[in-house]
Formats: sequence, structure tokens, C-alpha cells
Amino acid sequence: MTVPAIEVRDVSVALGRVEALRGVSFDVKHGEVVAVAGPSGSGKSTLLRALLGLTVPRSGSIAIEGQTVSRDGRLIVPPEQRGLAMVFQDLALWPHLSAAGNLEFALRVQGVPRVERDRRVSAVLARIGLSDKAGSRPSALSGGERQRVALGRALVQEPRAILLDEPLASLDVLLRAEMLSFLRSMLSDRPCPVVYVTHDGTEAAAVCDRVVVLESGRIAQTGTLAELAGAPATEFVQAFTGNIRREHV
Amino acid sequence: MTVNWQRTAAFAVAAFVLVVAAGVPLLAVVLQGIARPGGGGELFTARALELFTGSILLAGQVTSFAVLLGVSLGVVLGLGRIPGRRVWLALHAMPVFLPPLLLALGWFHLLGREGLLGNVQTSEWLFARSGLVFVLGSTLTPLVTLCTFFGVRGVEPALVDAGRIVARPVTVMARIVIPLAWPAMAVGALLVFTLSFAEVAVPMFLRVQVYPATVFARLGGLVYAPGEAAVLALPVVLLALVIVAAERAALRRHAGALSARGDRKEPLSFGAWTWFAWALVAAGVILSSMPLAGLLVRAMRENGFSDAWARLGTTAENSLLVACVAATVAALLAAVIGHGLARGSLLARWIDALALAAFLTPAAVTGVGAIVTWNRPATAWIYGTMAILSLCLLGRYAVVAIRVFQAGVLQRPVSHEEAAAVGGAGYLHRIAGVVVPESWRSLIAAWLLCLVFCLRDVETAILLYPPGGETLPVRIFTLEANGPEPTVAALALFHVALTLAALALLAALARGRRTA
Repeated sequence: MTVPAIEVRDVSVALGRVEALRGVSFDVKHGEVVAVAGPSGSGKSTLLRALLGLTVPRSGSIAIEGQTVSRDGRLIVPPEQRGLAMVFQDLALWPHLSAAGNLEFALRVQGVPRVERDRRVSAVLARIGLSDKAGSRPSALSGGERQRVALGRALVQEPRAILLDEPLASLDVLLRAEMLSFLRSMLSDRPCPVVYVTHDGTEAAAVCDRVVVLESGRIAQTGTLAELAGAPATEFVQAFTGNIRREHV
Repeated sequence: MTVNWQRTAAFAVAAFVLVVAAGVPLLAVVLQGIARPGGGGELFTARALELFTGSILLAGQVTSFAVLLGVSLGVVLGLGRIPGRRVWLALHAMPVFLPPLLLALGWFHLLGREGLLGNVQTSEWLFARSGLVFVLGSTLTPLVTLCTFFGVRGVEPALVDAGRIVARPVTVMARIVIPLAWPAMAVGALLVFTLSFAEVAVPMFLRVQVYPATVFARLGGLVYAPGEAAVLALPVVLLALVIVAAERAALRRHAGALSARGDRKEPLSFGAWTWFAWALVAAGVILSSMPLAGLLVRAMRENGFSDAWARLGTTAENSLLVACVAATVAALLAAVIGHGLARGSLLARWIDALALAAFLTPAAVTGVGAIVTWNRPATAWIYGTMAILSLCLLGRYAVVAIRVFQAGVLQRPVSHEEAAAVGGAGYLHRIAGVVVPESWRSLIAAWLLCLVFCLRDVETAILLYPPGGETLPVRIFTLEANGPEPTVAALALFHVALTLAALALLAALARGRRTA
């Protein structure tokens, strides 16, 4: 039996007095793109933080490629050793570093030799179409270019999994369509599993194989989009699947 | 038209008050110094140059001490998983709100020849340049700590998280947090450099010759030569202007660098470095607490409190009176200038630069300016009364209130004011009806912090207090030379209590703000 790329078992997270996640369990298989959907405050971002190790779950366990990284309130593997990459909702590009510097940072601190670093950064910059903007600071880039740098920063690490936290939420409609197409092409030859947080059914339909719906910190429903659309368990799932444009169904 | 008229009038009044309180005395020093015949000969003596460069070097040493400890401590307390961090920060920060002379007295009671931990060697070390660097360094380090604390809290949490995914906490601090928060740290370092260069009372107490003390010496004791003092003050004014420019450069594109906007829910864990983080916190708290403990032990040993009560007289009332008047006017100015600064007004930037220059110029120099400006028969109603103290303290510390209120306004959306303007509210209505009600905690914090800075001032009060208007720090300074040590220690603790009361109110405000 193949070990899942990510295994989440009965995870509960408390943020102060608020129960952000309650007994959440699901798997992500190798090469699979899983959307995590849910209304605001449902615990989507908290789930990503728990996977990354930025928040330690109060109970339950998380394993990455069979290695338990946290269990019952104990951080077993710190964030920098989990081999995960993340595209943040607000991109979180370091403003004091250039586009190439943002890509190179992780490789440098992980001790990747300079020649190898340069090769990987150049390759990813070419892949995201920003070779000519390597020396530009984020403030000098357009919204779409910043979005690509954020994705490039995740890809260059050759991570065990990529997590995306509503990566298109801050874009206007035209740019969102362009970036969605770009994302799809980037993830189509995906070398690793992806967890994609969104509240937009169209995005999920465009890039994801399966959907995990969170509501009030619990899993409300899981399945493919067709399964969810066929038998929506809650009003949110109904609205979520109802929003998907025809071409994606 | 009404809107512009109201705004122009408000700025004109604020500018007038600050020009009278800060600008005229500074200009008077410069003009008197330049016009004095033979001034060059007094200024360019080997002794004056040696003292000036020595004082710059001393300020550099104090700043290095403060940056080394303060930046590390500010980062640890700002981002680290340190239970009770605000309590540790408050304990560490306490000295910066007190006259440095009190801390020097405390260290004397610990390390002096007959101090609790002292002997001949420690006394010789304390009453030398090394002791001066240590006392000023430990007193002013909290400024760097506080600036760093607010600077790193202002870094967007996602930028730290993005680094944390790929690097250890220490690497994230060094490669991401510190490069992003450097403007705040630079401001802290500049403040320490300025205040340590300007300090007169502590070098005099520890018997170390410094340049501002030579200016000060021309205005008291056996020599009264304000003209010569004005000449000697010229390079100090120039230095203050250079520092104003440096501060502007540091904060040019980082107006909110000290606003602590970041809402970090998850502190960073230092892993194997946790012991080092706690060692830093302990060092910061111990350095700040020890001199106060020294004062307490000395005051209690020979019943200093009862004698101190008798000698207190009206000094505490005088201190409070002049500080309250200055802080109240400063808060009113802050409502106009601080708001203007936050909203990008060019005029506010110029007025703020003047206030900053007055703050950065040593009190000995602004004191010369005040004497040259106001010591004449026509203005005896100012110079001969407590008004002169309030006026000079206002000129010197208005910038504290302005910057605090600016930071508060920066955290409020401009759209609220725009909505009021669209609804027909003029400038004064917007300030009174939107800005002040929304940022009232910042305005009170501005008042309280300005009050604390006025209370901690020794040099301005020594130079300018009128007959019967002695303030508490002046009484401590004059008694320190010949008075009974337990009494002086107890008086110093009265001052600490006064300051603590103001700071407790500030803390209550801050708590209210967090829970609001």
C-alpha cells in the first residue's frame, strides 16, 4: 500500500479560546491536487499553518511521506525541515530582496551550492517568464509578476508538497483568469502534491482533483467536484459547486 | 475655502508656538555664536576640539553598547516565545523614563567605594570613562530595545512565516526581520547617540569631562559667559541638524516603522537558542533593576525616607506643574502636527523637523538660547517665572507627543476622515469629531509620554528654574554633592514613584487598546 504524501489524522487546533479545527482527518496522495474549501473563518488557513508547523495542533497527528511531523501537541519536525513550500494569500514576498533573491533565499539557507542555486533559480525564472526581471524588487513588479515570483519561490525548492492559500484572491477578474491558466500549466506537470485553499469553485474545478470542505473547523464533505455537485451536504457546498462555470464541469 | 482656512489657521498657531518655544532660542544661539567677535579663537582651541571628538567617541561607545544588547533583546521580546514578555519589557524599559542621574546614583550605591558590591577597584572603574559608558549604556539601551520591539512587531507576520518555512528562527531573524526592521533600530541608535552626547548631569557626577558640560559650565558656577557658551554651542547645533537629516533618511519611506502594525499570533520558538534568549532577557532586566535596588537599599538603611519627605518641599509639585503645562500644550500641538505628519503634510514635516532639532540639541545649548532670548526686562514675566520652564520643556519635548500621535493616526484609515469631509465636515470638525475620538488613547499616551520626558529633564531645569521653582531632579542634583546619601536616594525614589504612576496610566491605556 502506498504511503500518502500528507496524512492528517484527527487534528484539532485551538487559537486562544477558539476551536479553529476539530478532529480533521484526510489524506493527500502523491501527485494529487486537493482543494480545501470553506467559508471565512472555517479553519482553512489554520489547517495550512498546522501542516507547515507554524501552528502546533492540540491533538491528532500529521505525517508527511510517512514521517510523523507533529503529534498530540508536540512539534516533532520544525517547519524548515518539513520540505513544504507555500504560496501565501498576500504572497509575502520579501521586499528587501529581488525576484531572484526571493527564489534563492531558501536554497541559500539550506546550503545548496552556488552553481546549483544559480541553475535552479535561472530555470524557474525562465519557466515563470521573468528572466528579465530577476534583479527587480517586488515593489517594481506588477501584480501578475509578483504572483509568479511567489509561485516560483515555491517551485524552486522542489518541495515534497506545495500549499497555496487563496493565491488568486487579491487579483482582479482579468488577471485572475490569466493566472489561473498559468497555475494550471505549472501544476499540470506537477512534481509533487498540492493543497489549494480556495472559496471559489471555478478555481477548484480548474486545478484540483478532489475537494475537502471545511465548515466551523470540521470537515463537512469530501469528494470530487462531481460528487459534491451531485449530493451537496450543506448550503455552502451547494453554493460552492453552483458557482462553477460551465466550461469546468 | 472654509476647510483650507481652518487648516491654515491651525497650522499657523501650532507653528507659531513651536517657533517661539524651540525655533527662536536655537536661532538666537546660532546668531549670537556667529556674531561674537573672536568666537573662532574660543571654538578652535585644542582643548575644545579634544573634548568634542572625545564626546562623539563616547556617544559612539554608548550607542554600540545599546545596539548590541537592545537589538537582540528587542527581537527576542518582539517575536520570541517568551512568557510574560510585556512585564519583562516594562521592567527593562523603566530606566529610559528616569533622569539618567538617578540611575548613576543607584550604580554609585552599588559599585562606589562603600557601595553594596563595591570596593576601591569598582569605584575607580565607575568614576571613569568606562563607568560613564556603562551607566549611560545600561540606561539608554531600552530605547533601542523599544524601537526594535515595535519595529519587528511591525513586520508583516506572513513575511516571517514565509522565512520560517525554509529557515531556522535565528536565520529568519538575521536575514529577514532585522533587514526589514532596520529603520526602527536606526532611529533607536540615533536617539541613544544624541541623548548620550547631550548628557551633562551624569558625566559631571562621574567626573568625566564632556563637551556639553563645557557649554553648561559657562552658564553657572564661577563663570557666567553666555556669549562664549553660544560659540561653543555652534558645533552641537550643527551635529543636531546632521542627526535630524539622518533620522529623516532612516524613516523616509518607513513612516510607520514604529507603529507595530503586525498582528502576530504565533511567537517564534528559538529551539536550542532558548537559553540564550532568556539570558538576554535576564541581563536586560537585571541591568535596569539593579540601580533602583541600590537606591532602595541605601534609602532604607538610614531612614532616608523621613528626611527626604521633609526636604521634598514643593519640588514634586513644581515638577508636575511645569510638566503638565508643557505636556498639555504639546498634546494640542500633536493633534494638529502629528495628524498632519501621518497624512503626509509637507508643512507638518517642516514643523516636526524643528521640534526634532530642539529635542536632539543638548539642553545645555537650548538653555543658552533660552537665556539669550528671554533674559531681558521686557520678558521678565516669562523668564522670572515657572513659564520659562514650561516653555523650554515644550520646545524640547513637543516632538515626543507629535510622534506618538502620528503613530496612532497612522493606524486609522484615512477613509474615515474622507467620509466626514464628503459629508461637509471642515478641518476642525474632522479633527474634533473623527481624528481625536478615534485616536484618543494615542493623544493621552502622547500627553503622558511627554509628561514623563519633562519630568526626567534635569539640565533645562537646572539652568532656568526661577527662585522658589526648584523641581525634584534639581533638588536631587544639588543635594547629591553635599546632602546625606540616604536622603538623596529616597528623593530619587520619590521621583521614580512619580514616573511609575504616569507609566502605570500609560500601561492601562495600552491594555485598553489591545482589548478594545
